Amino acid sequence: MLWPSILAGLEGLYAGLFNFTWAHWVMFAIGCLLIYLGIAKGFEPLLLVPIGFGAILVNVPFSGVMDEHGFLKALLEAGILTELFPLLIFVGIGAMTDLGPLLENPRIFLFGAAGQFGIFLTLLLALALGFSKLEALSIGIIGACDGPTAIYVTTNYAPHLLGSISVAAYSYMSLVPLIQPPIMRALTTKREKQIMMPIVKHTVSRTTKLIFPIAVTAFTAVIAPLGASLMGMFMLGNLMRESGVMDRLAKTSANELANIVTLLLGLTIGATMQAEQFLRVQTLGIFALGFIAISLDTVMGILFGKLMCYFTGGKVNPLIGAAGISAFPMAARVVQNEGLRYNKKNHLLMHAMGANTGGQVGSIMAAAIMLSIVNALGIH
Amino acid sequence: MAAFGVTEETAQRRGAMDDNLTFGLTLTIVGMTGTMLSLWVLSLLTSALKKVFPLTPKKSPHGTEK
Repeated sequence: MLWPSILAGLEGLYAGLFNFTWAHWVMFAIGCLLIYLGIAKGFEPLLLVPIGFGAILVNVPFSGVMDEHGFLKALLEAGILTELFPLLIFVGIGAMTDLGPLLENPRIFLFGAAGQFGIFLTLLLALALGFSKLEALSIGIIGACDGPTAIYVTTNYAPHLLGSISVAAYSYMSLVPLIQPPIMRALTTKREKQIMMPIVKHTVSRTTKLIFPIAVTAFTAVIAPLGASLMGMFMLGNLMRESGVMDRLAKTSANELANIVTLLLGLTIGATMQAEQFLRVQTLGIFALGFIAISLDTVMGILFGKLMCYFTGGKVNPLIGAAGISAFPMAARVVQNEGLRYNKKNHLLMHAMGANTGGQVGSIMAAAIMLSIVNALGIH
Repeated sequence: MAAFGVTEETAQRRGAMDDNLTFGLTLTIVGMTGTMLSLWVLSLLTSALKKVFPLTPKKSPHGTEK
């Protein structure tokens, strides 16, 4: 009687192994690749490593992590499907972001709008490729270059694409230093690249910095109420930072809260990368469209920069248009490096930081406006 | 039965494509314009805030402006 019992017990040890399919191994490889990119190449390690690990865990047969009582399923339901994690991340991002350079030169806000045009052009491409309306909308939002916004919109409209869209969004954000420079070089002349911009002076009062987050939230709530929570959480974080009397909360939001939620968010996104959902031709299409979205953002930003350069009589360096995306502060650093490459005395960083924070506000605003339009069109 | 030899399936597909095109163009035009206008309004709002609440130089304890 003992022998059959031992055999049955042993079966429990190798059942998992025999249930592995090629698709599981491919997902293991993808998970390992994300971990490698995060650790060895430094591409968004805070997110890619948990995402890669989550992808490995969820593709272990019988792991149960996404079963009814699985811990990743609990995290998905509590943090992603309720939109809680992206919103909490926004509090942290708001607490980390210095809007000063943007407030010093408010017209730079417009770069933050031009940098979002890739979203809408990619949406058109996705529709042309046969994606459904709501899928196309979620794919387009990769062009916001803003992980939490992409997750927020995708959760609402195409939750089945959450894994591929999130991974595409974060991967391309980390690749901004590689994607943007060739486009910047191709679209600007040597003379434009060498345009020097004046030093940013400190002219913004504390009162302005305090009223601004409240005013922007109120404005968003009026124009695009469905995006009020996104903008509101970002601005709450910023208000705590600027108030000067909430240091403990501001620091906690920018550090502990953001770190904890980033870990949970990454793991949970990884958990949505189940082989049967992720290994589709559709995923390749999403990655291709994501790349196009971020490239188009850069193209539109630079072209808008050229327009500003023309209308200001050559006072604006078009390169800062590339920073009008939400990838903060990477895009601003890319602009600074490109500026220095052509003129060793040209420090564009503060102007680019302004455009970059404009891109952060712009990406949230673009998403909020999209949500409101879709709601008005009655598409669900 | 569709006219001019176009099958119902083709007509439906065309209808869906037209529908998608209308949706895409609506979202693109309204979305891009809306985003640009919103951020332009925010830039005006910021400029107005800066004018209403200008940065005032801090005074040192001895009464001289810093």
